[in-house]
Amino acid sequence: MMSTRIYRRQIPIFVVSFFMAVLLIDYYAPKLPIISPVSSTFLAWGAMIALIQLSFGYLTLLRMHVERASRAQSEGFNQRTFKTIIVLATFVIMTVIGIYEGRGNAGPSFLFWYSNLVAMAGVGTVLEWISHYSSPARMFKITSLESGAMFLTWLLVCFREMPTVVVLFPFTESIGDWIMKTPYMASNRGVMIAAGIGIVILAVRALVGKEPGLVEMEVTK
Amino acid sequence: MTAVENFVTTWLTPKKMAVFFTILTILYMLFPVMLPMKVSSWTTDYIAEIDRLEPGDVVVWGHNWGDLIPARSGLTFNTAVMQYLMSKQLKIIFVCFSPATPSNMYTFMHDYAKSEDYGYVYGVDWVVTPFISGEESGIAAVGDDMWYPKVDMFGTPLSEIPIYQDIHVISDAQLTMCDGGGFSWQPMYVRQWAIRHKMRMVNNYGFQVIAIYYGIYVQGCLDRTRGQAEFEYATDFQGEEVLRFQFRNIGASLVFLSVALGNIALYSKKKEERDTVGVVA
Repeated sequence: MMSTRIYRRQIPIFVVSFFMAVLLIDYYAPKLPIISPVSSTFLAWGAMIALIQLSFGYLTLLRMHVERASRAQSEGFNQRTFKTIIVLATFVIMTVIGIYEGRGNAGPSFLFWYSNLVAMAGVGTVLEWISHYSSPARMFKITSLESGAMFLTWLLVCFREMPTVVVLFPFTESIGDWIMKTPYMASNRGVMIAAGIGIVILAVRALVGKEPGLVEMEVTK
Repeated sequence: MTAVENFVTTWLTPKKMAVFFTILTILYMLFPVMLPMKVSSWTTDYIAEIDRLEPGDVVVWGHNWGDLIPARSGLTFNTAVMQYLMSKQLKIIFVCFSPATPSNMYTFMHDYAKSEDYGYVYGVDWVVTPFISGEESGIAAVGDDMWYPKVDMFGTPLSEIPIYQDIHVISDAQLTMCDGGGFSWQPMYVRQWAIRHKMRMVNNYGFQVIAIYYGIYVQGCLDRTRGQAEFEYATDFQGEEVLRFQFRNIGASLVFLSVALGNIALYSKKKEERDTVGVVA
């Protein structure tokens, strides 16, 4: 009998590795008459599977809220029920208007833009002034050489982001640009290279069954 | 308690600061100062890349305006970019990678970019794809085959849409743009469109995320608020980003002030603690 580990881990890893190998060959090697069409088909499959996953996610969310709403009668009305009612009501209103409108969906678009726009602007206004004025005061306390260097870098990049400072003192732009183009870019590339190598190592370890990871935790649960 | 701490706890309370910033914001909205500003090389690169195109050339704009974040911070700048493209008579294909993007782009073109004012006709001069799922695999699929969605956002077959008749792979277009999404999205566009298909690309999101590709695979960049404001300023567009960027002169000064006060408070407290220990000893 096939063990759980085989069909829940080894077979999916093999399937994913096969698809990835085809895609990688197509990405890095010159266009081949056999690989390229196969690779395009795999990409289309990937996009379609993602769409089904997304639909599954939406349905799961909807199911959860319907369940919660149905429990409201026995458990009573609370804050969570209120949120659920908002979600379900929004879903129903958008669906009804969408079906009624048909092509273009101007109604749902209008509601989406002009309700979300206001809500997001409100949330953003509250969050941004806290993050812009309060957080730096706590973040940039100079307590060591490292925090001093971080403070100095932040200060120089900030000068570059102030239009009038740049006009009055053009060197601040040059310094800020240099920080972004040289140390920042170098460290960014370093992180990307490290992450890339790390992913390859993880993938190889997973392929030979040496990387326990989440799937292993699930199958041994 | 030191004098600085006393000042901070008495005068810099969240409520008093909120009132101060509200008054400051209203004053600035009523009387914008419009201090001088300069256009950076990344923005001039971006504009030069658009200016290089001929009327009738096609721009593929990868977008995933999922929620309304771009509408909150970037709506006028996107309008500025769109109207600049239309003033150059360029054709635009919006490729949508978030479920809400198609209707967002359509609303944006009608209500904000005012495509009709430029004589732009849907299907002939611009088109919006339906939602394409799969993130990077979706971006790659469209790069390989522009007809991958089969229909536009209304379900009209691409064979009936004039703008698509000469566009089969992404390299049939003359420029790609990418915008929206988070930090992980921008490199996806670069990998799958700019590198894989050797396409010229400009970025509307931020230099930080495409820094490692800049100059090689990405030919121009609007670096978030700064770049967006510079674009509005350089193209003489009356937008919000210029005001937002101008406000940074004041906002950033206040940030410096809060950081300076924080550090003074820290060191004066440390000094007080040292003095207290000295007295006890």
